[in-house]
Amino acid sequence: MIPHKIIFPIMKGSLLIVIIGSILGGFLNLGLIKASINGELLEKIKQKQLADLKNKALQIPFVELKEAKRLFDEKAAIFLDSRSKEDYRDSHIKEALALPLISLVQDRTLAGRIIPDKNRLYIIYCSGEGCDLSVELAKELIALDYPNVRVLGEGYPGWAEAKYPVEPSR
Amino acid sequence: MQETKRYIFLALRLLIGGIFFYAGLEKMFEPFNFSMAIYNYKLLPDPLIGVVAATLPSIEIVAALFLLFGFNTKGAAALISFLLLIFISLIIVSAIRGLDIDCGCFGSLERKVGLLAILEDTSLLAISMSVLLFEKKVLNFQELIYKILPRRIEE
Repeated sequence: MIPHKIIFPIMKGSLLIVIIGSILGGFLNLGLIKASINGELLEKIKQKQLADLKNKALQIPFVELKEAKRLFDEKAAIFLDSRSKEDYRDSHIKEALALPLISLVQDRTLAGRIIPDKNRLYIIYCSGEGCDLSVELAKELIALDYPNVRVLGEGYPGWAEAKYPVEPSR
Repeated sequence: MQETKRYIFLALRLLIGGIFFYAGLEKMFEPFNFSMAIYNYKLLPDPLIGVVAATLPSIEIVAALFLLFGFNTKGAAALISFLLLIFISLIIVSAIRGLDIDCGCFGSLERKVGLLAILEDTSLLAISMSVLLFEKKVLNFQELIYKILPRRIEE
């Protein structure tokens, strides 16, 4: 058992650093803290990540969230979930098909079995702006001669946040 | 032998101080990128992301300066050990969740969450713990001030 006489001065010393550091950091980054509390920071982060994702895959066409919803309503596109099977089972865009990137990489004939029609429009999504599974799956499908492939950058979180249909419904 | 040990622990203290000073500075100059790294872990409530991104780098820098200048070294080493324990836990949890994200440990230096990041942070934890437990006063400004002050008063 370490005596209190030793622990308390050390804890006091640590606390002093936390206080000085917090005051200094808060003073230097007041704008960041304000933006974080009023939600602006989160919006900026999402925009930056989406831009980064698009830059990473310049040859892959993206689809805007509203446009994706219109195509969903008109049943003009098939949605593909590139996340893991567990994530798909947990919840996915309504009527989307599961095509995890990892499964396709292991067995490329999977694409032909799940989406035999190469002329349909496919919209691929994953876990949002910070996730590149959808972009990688799009690259794989283009290499397998699927010409009409789009990526929904906002992914499942963006779709669910907009209160668009998901299943199992929440 | 005893003297050699003292200087080994001094070197470790300066090493961990230097690493955290650099890590803190990298993050301090890129607060938005650090916010993004925190967001990617998807563990903190959204309004807190900016608060942590604003304050954590400064805390790291202050702790590092204390270690470098030999002031309140035990408090700084304890705090850095505590932070490293949190970082290691976060990296392990994120690796288990299958997140393929940058750990955000050194600002612009890319390092993915995974075994390598865990090993690096564990090594840093071993160093900071050794400073906390065994470091003796060498090049310690706090001691120096305490030694000088009473003499001045007596004079």
